Formats: sequence, structure tokens, C-alpha cells
Amino acid sequence: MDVYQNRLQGAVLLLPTVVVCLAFFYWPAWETIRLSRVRTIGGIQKIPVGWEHFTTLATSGAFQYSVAMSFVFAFIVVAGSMLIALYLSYLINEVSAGQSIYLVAAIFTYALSFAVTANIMDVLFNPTVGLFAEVLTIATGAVGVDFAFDYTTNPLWAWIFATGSTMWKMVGYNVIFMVAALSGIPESINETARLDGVGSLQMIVRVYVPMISPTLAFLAIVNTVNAFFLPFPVVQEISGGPSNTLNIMIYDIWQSYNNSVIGLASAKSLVLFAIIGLLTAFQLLLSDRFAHYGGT
Amino acid sequence: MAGQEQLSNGRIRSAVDISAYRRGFARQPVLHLALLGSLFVLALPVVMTVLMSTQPSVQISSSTLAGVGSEGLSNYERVLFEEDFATYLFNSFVMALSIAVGKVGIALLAALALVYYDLPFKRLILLFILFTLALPVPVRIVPMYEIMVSLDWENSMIGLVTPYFASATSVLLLRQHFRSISDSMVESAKIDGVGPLKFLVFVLIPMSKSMIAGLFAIAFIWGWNQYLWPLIIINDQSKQVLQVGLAQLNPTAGEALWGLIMAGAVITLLVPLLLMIALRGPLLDTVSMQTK
Amino acid sequence: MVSDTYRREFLKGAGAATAVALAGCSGESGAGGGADGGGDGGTETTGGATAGGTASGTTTITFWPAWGGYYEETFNEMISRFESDHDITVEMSPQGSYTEAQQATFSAAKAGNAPDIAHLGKNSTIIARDTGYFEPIGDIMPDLDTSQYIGPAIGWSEVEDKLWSLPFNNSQILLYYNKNHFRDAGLDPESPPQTFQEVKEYSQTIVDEGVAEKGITWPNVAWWTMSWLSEQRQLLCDKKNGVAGEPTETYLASDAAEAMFDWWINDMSDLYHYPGKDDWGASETAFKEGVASMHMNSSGGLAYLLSGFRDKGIDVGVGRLPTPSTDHGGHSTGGAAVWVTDKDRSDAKQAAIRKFLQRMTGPELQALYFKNTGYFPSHKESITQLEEEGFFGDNPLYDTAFDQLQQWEQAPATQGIFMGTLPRTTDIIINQTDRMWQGKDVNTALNDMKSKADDLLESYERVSY
Repeated sequence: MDVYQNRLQGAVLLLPTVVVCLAFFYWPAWETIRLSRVRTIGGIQKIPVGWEHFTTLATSGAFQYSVAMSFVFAFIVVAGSMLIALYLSYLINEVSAGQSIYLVAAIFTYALSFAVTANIMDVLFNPTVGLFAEVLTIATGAVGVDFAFDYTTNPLWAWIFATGSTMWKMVGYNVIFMVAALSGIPESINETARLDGVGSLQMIVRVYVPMISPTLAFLAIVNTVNAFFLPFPVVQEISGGPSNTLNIMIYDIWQSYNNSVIGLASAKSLVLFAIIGLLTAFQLLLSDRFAHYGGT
Repeated sequence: MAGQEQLSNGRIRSAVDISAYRRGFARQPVLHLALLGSLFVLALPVVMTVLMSTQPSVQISSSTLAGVGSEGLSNYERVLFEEDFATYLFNSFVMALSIAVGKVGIALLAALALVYYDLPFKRLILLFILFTLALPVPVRIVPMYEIMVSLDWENSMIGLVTPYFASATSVLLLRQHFRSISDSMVESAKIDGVGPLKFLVFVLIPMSKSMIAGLFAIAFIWGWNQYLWPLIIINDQSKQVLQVGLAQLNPTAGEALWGLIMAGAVITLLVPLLLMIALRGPLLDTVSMQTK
Repeated sequence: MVSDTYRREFLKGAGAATAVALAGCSGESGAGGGADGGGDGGTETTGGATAGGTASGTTTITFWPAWGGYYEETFNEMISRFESDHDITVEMSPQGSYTEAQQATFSAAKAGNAPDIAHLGKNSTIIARDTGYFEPIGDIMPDLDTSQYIGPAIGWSEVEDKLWSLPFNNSQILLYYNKNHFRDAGLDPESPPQTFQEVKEYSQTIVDEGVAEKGITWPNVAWWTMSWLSEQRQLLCDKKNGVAGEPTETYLASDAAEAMFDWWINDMSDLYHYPGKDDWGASETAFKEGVASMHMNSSGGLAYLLSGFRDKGIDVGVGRLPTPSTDHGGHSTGGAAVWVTDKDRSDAKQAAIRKFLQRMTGPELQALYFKNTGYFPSHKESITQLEEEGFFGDNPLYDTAFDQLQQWEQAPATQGIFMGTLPRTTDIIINQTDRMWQGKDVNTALNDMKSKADDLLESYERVSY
């Protein structure tokens, strides 16, 4: 309700937010659009080339690979982390004692950064000095399986390393939402189902998931958007993996910036923006359908 | 039929429901076991990190078994004082704190304006703020650097933190929260002729403590964990933050000192983790508000 | 083992020849004698102090070396020696790697906040020149006599008859090997392999005797490709490696390239330990851990690596870079050079910069840098000093490095590579090599390498000054 009529005051209160948005979001985005239409040499010489970069990207097999892999990567980590989180959240919701402690233990990855994740996973999975790598090699060796736990030469293992680390990091965030959502489910449903002799798995799939589907939909989109650029440190840790198998868009863009090919890098980041923009818009629309943003 | 009863919802169940009984009896311990097991696996990398941080780097590269190592805390000493982590720690702290205070403070002002002021084009303004969510750092980073340079803010704390001051989610959540404050409270303020800032400080903020604490925690953790922007804008090692400093401990040229890196990692993750644990109540509440 | 005097004379002669050749084109004086002519060699004391003093007090200049870490202490030592003789303060800010140094310096320069003195990898020569951010050293110090620098080092600094940079640290590839492993395998620990064939034979013996998992390891970095092409006297690109004009095509699919990769990928496939893309550390670790008995690395890492290897109880030997045949063409030095950014400066600052450059590339500090790191000194007088001190006698492993440097002959293939696209081309080389290790056929990979590198050349335009 409008208590205050002084529009000037109101504008002043909004000013800091608006200024920051303009200065650090909109103007740079505009500049990036401008930059995507030039070719730079050494990052300085600028030759206008119109939409050339975009046509190059559209026909570039390497870029198409990059975009496709970004989606594959995102899909794997989102599905994986949400499944793990759902499992943990279900357990936490069902257990009758110690919930708060279990909850804190389950969400701790929320407090970590991807940079820290990348570093510690690298040390643990490092082919030469990593403890996990060595343990796995011994374990599989004992069973007669000869698998190269070397993410510098084995693309499959590089993928497992990158998606595994990312999934692990994303679990915390998902658990926060899922536990909150599950706790909102009325106890009576629980009771009834148990009395009916409904098994746990059935419970999860037939009852819980549909009941928290708005949350799950929200998480799916937010996680996907994040998966496109937040895991950058993990991919950087293994330099894109053998044969650049993990050359997802954010890593590819970084390479271009590092090579001072600013024009092309800007064009690539606009494509990334378009994808993220669409996903975000989709999420906003979806959540509007499921929830209420306070109307007008 | 004897031995059966009818439930209030009309279903029939036998007086002694063996399966339910059996399930109920074994259920809790099984749940606990499952939780303990999975959480142990989840925490394993961090547990290993802590253990390895006490080991000398030479030992790790011979990958002996996990256990508290011989170095004790000497890796920490070395990383803090020889590798400048003490400096990075301070910088990260100042950065995260500034971002948290800035984000929440400015969002409070914006939410105040959007909810309690008669302004035109409110929806538009809201969308204007919301849309920034679709513009992640990589899309803006090069021009952002140039702005900083033209303001003479590059390689400075102020240049580092100001881009983070706008938070669409904070504005949104606070706005939602303010709107849920009962009309009667607002009415009485109106009648009393309370000024906007007084209203904010003495009415709104006290009624939003949990949310503000939650937003603060979220913003602090987010700011502490930033990597790409500090990497680009800070040139001077003495102004660098932990995330970047940690990455630099693991160079591509020359051999990495694993024990040191793990110690650095522990230092880097400790503060946000402790904050999360301390403010977990408000944090959990606020985060999950986003779906409501 | 060649005598010291011969070594000194050789390098002086080579350098002088270079100077004459270049002088002839540019009309610079300094042909032949007077090696210490124009710019004073470096250990200045009174001369510098008077010129540098300003009425207002200390002049400050900024310097961004490419790395800190192990090298930071030495940089600090060099700088404090310089500062103690002048009323000049040097603010140093280490960057991390050649890539980061280039990126940071270019960004800063674009923003108008460049350091006074930049430290860039030699591969960046053309692209740095073309950004327009730098002022040619030849303009700042027109009386500088470049013949005071050793031939292999100064080659990279001149483009189209203009001196753009000064060589700061220079290196070549060396073979490091584990003498203990050699003994265990029945190989002579005092005679390291010199040719590709010998490397293969030695590696085979080592593996067959079960001494180590693999015979040899080295990083997947473009420097090896560049050096092995040089040794076979093969140009990397046309226009004499870009010296005679802007290159239009690369020779990455040449016979020499094929010979090199065929040996590396095919002949050595079970004998070489592949450490992954662009990862020096993983390769060093593999050698230290005994996974491989031989290792190739930069001579610039001599000090750092030797101490690390010895800590692991390895009895280290050093040999020259093994080449396809016994005919060594020599390879140009890698490393980095110092550049001066183009800024408006007071006379005092400009003078300070001149002094700094002269001192840092001068005999005393270059000798110091060499002793602490293993990077070859840029200045010829450093070598004299080191010989007089008996350093080479006391440090035979460093001597080996020098012997190899001596084999350098001046030729287009060994001068340096002048391509604006060189930094990005090295990425292409690394990536295609990586794919070869994933199973891609050598010929296909080389053709892809060539076509991608050629595409880059096509889109590049060298600036004409």
C-alpha cells in the first residue's frame, strides 16, 4: 500500500539499485553486443565485421559441439544432483530424530565454491598423486578391470570427474529447497500411505514428487542455468579435458578472451546469454503458473 | 469381522497390521544408517582435505593411507604467512562483508520504495531489476573491466564489490515479505506520520529480521565464493582474495604442493561454512522462500 | 668439453655477426669491435646516480614479471641491488604465467594503466608489437649496442630492423635423466641419449628391465615442436619464419614435422608417459616419482628442478636435447623479453627505465639470474664473469646446458618465429598433439594443425610501422 507520496524520495531510494543495474548489467551487455560485431587484433585493433562472427559460429562444428556439450553436461549434473538431493531430503524428512543435524550435514556443499571444489577434487582424483585415483585403481585391479583413472588421457573419466564434482557441489543447494518443500507436505498423507502399505519408493514417486513439483521445476531450471557457467573452475582445472572433450561454452569463451579474440568471445557470450535468457524466462513463467508473485 | 476395524476414512485395516509394525520397528534405524552412510560419503572429500592438509606434500605424492599427517599445522602456518593467505583471508572478508551489507542495504531501500511509495511504472521497474538475473558475469565481464578502469577503480576493493550491490532476488524477496506485513501496522505508521527511514528502521527491519539475516548470509557466502571477477579485476597480489589465491597455489608450471593446497582449501571454505551453520535457520527459511 | 675461451669467443663472434648483419640493414653503428660501446654493460655506479637523481626525490617505475613463486626471490634480489645504486624505486607485481602476463598487460595497457616495464614470453613478440601499446627499445635507447647480447637471445627482439624488446631470460630444452635407473638398466649413466633412435633404444631397455614404467616423459607444450623443427633446419612458417614479411602459411605438415611426430606418437607410444595437455608439473612429478627414467624440461628450471629431484634422492644427469639425427641445427632460445609500454613520461622516469633495462640485462644481474635459475644470461660479459669464477667447473650440469647453446648457428630457422598468431597457434599444436595421444592419426592431425594455423594467419594483419 502506498504510504508515501513523495515520488522524488521514492526515486532516490531506488537509485542505487537502478544505477548498479544500469552501470554493471545493462551497459556492459550493450557493449558486448557492440563488441560482437568487430574483429579485434591483440585486443585493440577493431575492424567492424557486422554479423560475421555469428555466421562463423553458426557453421562452426567446434562451436556446435561446445553448445551441445553444455546441454549434455547441464542435463547430467542437474539430474544427478537432484536425484541425490531428493534421496537425502527424503531420508531427512522421514527420520524422526536428529533432523537439524542431518540437515546441516547435507547442505554443507552450499557454502563451498566451485573453485575450492575443483581444487580438492583435483588433488583427490589426480592420476599421479590422488588418493581416490589410487584406491580405485587398486580396487578395480583386484577385480580384474583395467580402467584408466586418468582424466588427462581418458575422456570418459574426465567427464566423470567434471560432472561428479559439479553434482557433488550442487547437492547442498537442492537439499535446502527439497527438505523445505517436503516438510510442507501434510503429515496425514504420510500416515495414510503407510497404513495402506505403500512402499517407500512408491511414496516418493507417486506422492512426494508430484506434491513438490513446483519446487522441483524451479530447481531444474535454476540448476540448469547455473550449470552453464558456474562449474567453470572445475573444467579449467582439467584444461578442458583430453581432446577438449569438456569444452563447454563458458570454457570456450574464456579461451577466446585469453587469446585476446575479444570480438569472437563477445559473440559467443551473447549466444550463451540467449540460451540462459530463454531458460530464465521459462523459469519465471513456470513459477508464475505454480506460485503467486503477489499479483499486481 | 473380528480383528478388523474401520478407520475414519472408511478403510478397513486389521487390528494387528504386521507389515506396518515390522516396517515401523526397523524403519528408523535403517533410515539413520542410510543417512549416516550417505552423508559420510558426501563429506568424504572434505574430510580427506582436512586430513591431507596435515600431511607434508612429499608424503601425499607417495599416496600413503589417509590419516592425520606428520605436518600438523605447519602447512597452515606456511600457507598463511609465506603464501600470503593471511592477506587473502582479510581481503575476502572485507569483500564478502561489503557485498553482504551493500546488497541487503540497497535492496531494503529499493523494496521500501517499491512497496510503500506511489511510483509510476512499478511493474516495469521490477522487470528492469529482475531481468538482470539473465545477465551472468561472463556476458558482461570485458566492458565491466573497462568501466572500472575509466572510474579508476580497477585493482581496488571498491571496484571489486560495487557490481555485486544490486540483487534482484533480494529485492524480490524483501518486496514479497513487506507486502505480507499486516496492513494495520502500516496504517498506524501512516497515521503517526512516520518518515520513511524511521519506518524502515523501526518497523520493517525488526519485522524482517529472519529474512535480513538470511539474505545477509546468502550474500556473504556468494561474495566470498566469487572467482571470475576478482581474477579479472585484481592485479595486485596484496589485494587478491582467497578463491584466486587458492587457484594460484596449483600452478601448471612446476610441481604443486598438495599439502599446502589442501590447507589453503580448508582456510578458504571454513568461514562461509561456519557462517552457514551459525545462520542456518534464517538461511534455510530465506532460500526456500524463493519458490513461494 | 670445449674450453672456456672458445665458448666465449664463439658467442661473441656469433653475436657480433648478428649485429653486423642487422647493422648493415638498419644503418646502426656498432659493427665488430666495441662490444661494450654505446650502452654501458651494466655495472654502473657513479655514472648512473648523478643522471638519475631528480630534485623532487625518488622516481618510481613499475615492473610486471611473468612469474613469482620460485623466481620472486631472485627478482627481489636483482631489484634491490639496482635500487641501492639509484634513487629509483621499482614496484614489482608478478603475474603468474606468460599467458597471464600477456593478458594482464594488454588489458592494463588498454585501460591506460600499463606497467612501465612488461615481461612477455617470446612467442608474443609480433602480437605485442602490433598492439601499439609498446615503445620500441630501439627508440628509447638508440645508442644501445645489441652485440653485447648473445646471439640466440637477441634474435627474437628485432622485427623488421627495429629493436622492440630486450632478452631477459633465455632457455633451451635439456634432457634430465635418472642415473640410478640407468645403472639398474645396465645403461651407462654418463652417456645420455643424443638422438631419437637412442632415446627409443634406451627407453626400451629401461622398460624391458622393469626399471620404470616408461622410458621418458615431457610436457605437451608447443616448444618441443618448435625446437625440433629448428633442429631439423625446418622453418615453421614462410617468409623465413616471418622475418622477411608477414607469413601466409605454416609448415606444420612438413616432412620434418612428420618425422618428429611419427617418432613421438608411434615409435614411442609405449615408451613415453603422456602427462596431459600443457602440464609441466604432471610431467615433472612423473619423473620424480620414478614413473619415467628420463625427462625433458627447460634449462630455465635447472636450479629449481635439480634441487627438487635431489630431494627425492635422484642422482640427476643432464644431457642435451635429443634430436632426430646427429646433425644438430640448434634451436632458438625460449624464455621472455622485457618491453617498455608507450606512455607519456617525465624525462626522469624515462631515464630510470633505461637504467633499469641496462642493469637488468647487464652482466652482473644476468649472471646472478643464471646462477639462481639456470636461464642463460642475455649478456656476453656474464659468461666471462662466470668462467672467471670457475662456476662451470663447479657445476658440470650447467656446463652441459651451455655446450648445447654453443651449437646454435644463426639461420632463419633458429632465429625466432615471427607470427602474430603464435600464441594461438601453440594452442592448436597442443590440442592436436593431445588428440594424437587419444588415437588420432598423425598425418590427419598434422594436416588439421596446418590448416587451422593457416586460417589464423589469414585473418591476421600485421601492423606496418
